[in-house]
Amino acid sequence: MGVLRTLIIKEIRQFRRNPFMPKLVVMFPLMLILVMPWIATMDVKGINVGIADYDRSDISQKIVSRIDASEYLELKGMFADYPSALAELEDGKIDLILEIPAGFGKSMMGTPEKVSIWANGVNAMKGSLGSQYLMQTLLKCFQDIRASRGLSIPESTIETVNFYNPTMDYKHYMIPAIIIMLLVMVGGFLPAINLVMEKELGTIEQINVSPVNRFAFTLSKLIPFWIICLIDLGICMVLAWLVYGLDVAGSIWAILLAAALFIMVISSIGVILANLSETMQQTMFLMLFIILTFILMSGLYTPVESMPLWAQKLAFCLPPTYMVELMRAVYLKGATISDLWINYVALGGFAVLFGVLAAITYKKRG
Amino acid sequence: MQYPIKIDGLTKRYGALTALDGVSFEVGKGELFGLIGPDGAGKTTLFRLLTTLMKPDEGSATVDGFDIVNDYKEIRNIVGYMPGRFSLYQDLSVEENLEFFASLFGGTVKDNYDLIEPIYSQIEPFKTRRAGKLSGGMKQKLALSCALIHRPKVLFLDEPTTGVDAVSRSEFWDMLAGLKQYGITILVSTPYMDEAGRCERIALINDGKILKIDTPGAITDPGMTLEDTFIRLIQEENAKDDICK
Repeated sequence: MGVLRTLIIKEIRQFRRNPFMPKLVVMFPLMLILVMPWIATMDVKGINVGIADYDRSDISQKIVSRIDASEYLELKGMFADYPSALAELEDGKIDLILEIPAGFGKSMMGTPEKVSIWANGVNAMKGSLGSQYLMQTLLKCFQDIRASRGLSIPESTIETVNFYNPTMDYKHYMIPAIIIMLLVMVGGFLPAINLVMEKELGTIEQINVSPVNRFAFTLSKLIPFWIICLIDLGICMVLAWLVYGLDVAGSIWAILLAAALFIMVISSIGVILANLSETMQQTMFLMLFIILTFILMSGLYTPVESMPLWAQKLAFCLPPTYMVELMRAVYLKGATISDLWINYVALGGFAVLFGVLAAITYKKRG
Repeated sequence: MQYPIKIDGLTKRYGALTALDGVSFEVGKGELFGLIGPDGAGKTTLFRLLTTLMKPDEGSATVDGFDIVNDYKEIRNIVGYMPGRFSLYQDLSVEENLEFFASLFGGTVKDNYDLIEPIYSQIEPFKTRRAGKLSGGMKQKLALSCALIHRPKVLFLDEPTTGVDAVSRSEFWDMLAGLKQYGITILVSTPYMDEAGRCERIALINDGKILKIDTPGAITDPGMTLEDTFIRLIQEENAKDDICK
C-alpha cells in the first residue's frame, strides 16, 4: 500500500503542476453543459411551409395567419396552385406544402373537405416532425373555428402525453448523455495520455527496473483520474440543476455508484490502449476510434432499439450502452438501483474485466 | 568466488540485426568495470538485458547470483539503473524525485543518505527546483543519487557522461571511485576513450562482440593511445570477417 500511496502522490503533484490540465478538467464540463444541450437537441424548428390556397376564403386566411404565428413553422410563400409550390419544394426552398382545396371554407359548416400535406422526406426527421406540427396546428385551428361558430368539436383528435419528460424537453433528455460523453472523454483520454507520456519521456523505464507491482502501478494511473471524473460529474450535475432546472428524479447515490463503476471501465480501456501502443499518435488514434464507436453505438444519440439486430447485439457488448440506459432511467424516470440491477452488474463486470486486462497488458519487460 | 555480474554467451537480435553476439564476461565484487565502444555497439542492449527490461535470445547471465530471465523480481530489488537518456520526472522537484525513488523501493531518503551524501550535497541547495530546470551536470548528479538511494548491490550506468561538460564529467568519475568503499559493483558504459582510464577493467565492444577485456593499461598497445589500439582491433576484426566471407 505504501508504494501505491507514493505513486498516487506523484501523479497528483504532476497533475497540479501541469499548466493546462487542471484548467481543462474544469472548463470541459462547463463548456459541455452550458453549450451542448442547446445544440444536441432533437426539436425541429424553422420548418418552411408553402401554401397552395385554392379557397381564398376568410377561413383559409385564418389558417394562413395561424401557421405564420407558429413557433416551429415558417410561412415561406403563398402559391396559386400546387405545381408552382412543388417546384419550390424541389428547389429545397420549402419543406412542406399545404393544399387548401376550393370551397374548403364553406364546407366547414358541414362535412369539411380534405386538406392535403406534402412533405419533403430527404431530411426524414424534419419531414415527419414538420407534418406532425402542421397537423396539430391545423387541428387546433379548426377546433377554434368550429367552436366560435357554435359547432360541435370533432373528437377524433389524437392526444399524446409524454411521461417522465412532459414538455418533451430534449435538453433534459440529452444532459445525462452529455455527462456520459464527458466521463468518456476525461476518463478515457487522461489516463491514456499520462501513461503514454511516461513511455515517450522514458520515465517508465525507471519504474520497470524497480520492484513496483504492476497492479499498484496500474491503479496509480486509474485512481487520480477516477477522482477527477467524479469531481467533473459533480460540476455537471450542479450546473444541470442551476441552468436547466434538471433535478435527479432518482437517487444521487444511484448515479454516483454507476459513474464510479463506469469511470473505472473507461479509464481501464484508456490504460490498455496506452499499454498496447508505443507513441502518443497510436494511442490517440485508437482512443478516438473507440470513443466514436461508443458514442454512436451506445444509444447516446439514436435509440439502440432502432438499430439493426446485429448492431443491437454489438451495442450490448459495449459498456456505455448500460450506462446510457441507466443514467436516463435514474435521471428522468427515477429508477432505483434494484430496478436496474442488470446494468449495475454489467458495469461492475466490465470494470473488473478491463481493470485486470489493464494490469496484465502492462509489461515491465518488453 | 561468486561474481556480482556473470555473463555467458548473451545474444540479442532485433529482426535481422544481431545487437549482441555471444557476449561473455564477469565483473568482480566492488569493481568499476567499463564498457567501451562506439554508438550502436550493443552497450544499451546489454544494459537492458541485465536490468531485466528485455529477455535474451540466447545465453544466460546472473546479477548477484540471480538469473536475469527467471529471477527478475529479485534483480529489480538490488540493482540501480541510470539510462542513457535523462528519465527522472522533470516536473517534480529534486527532493521529490529522490523521495519518490526511495519509497518505490520501500525506504526513505534518510536510510541511505550516507551513501549519496557526497553527490547529493552538491545539488541540495537546489532541492526545490524542478528536475527539468537543472543543468546537464546537475541532472546527472540527481540521476545518480536516485539510482543509489535504495543502496543497490550492482549499479548500471549507461553513458552517464554523454552531453555533460568536461569538469562535471571528471567530478562524476571521482564520485564513482568514491563508491568503491561501499562495495557496490559498477558497470558503466562510455563512448569516450579518456574516461576508460578511470575504470579498473574495461571491455572493448564493437558490433555486438567483445574484442578484448583487460585493465586499461594492459589493453593499450605500447607507444599507442587507447583510441588507436581500439581502432586497430576493430580493423583486425573486420579483416577477419572479410576472410571468412
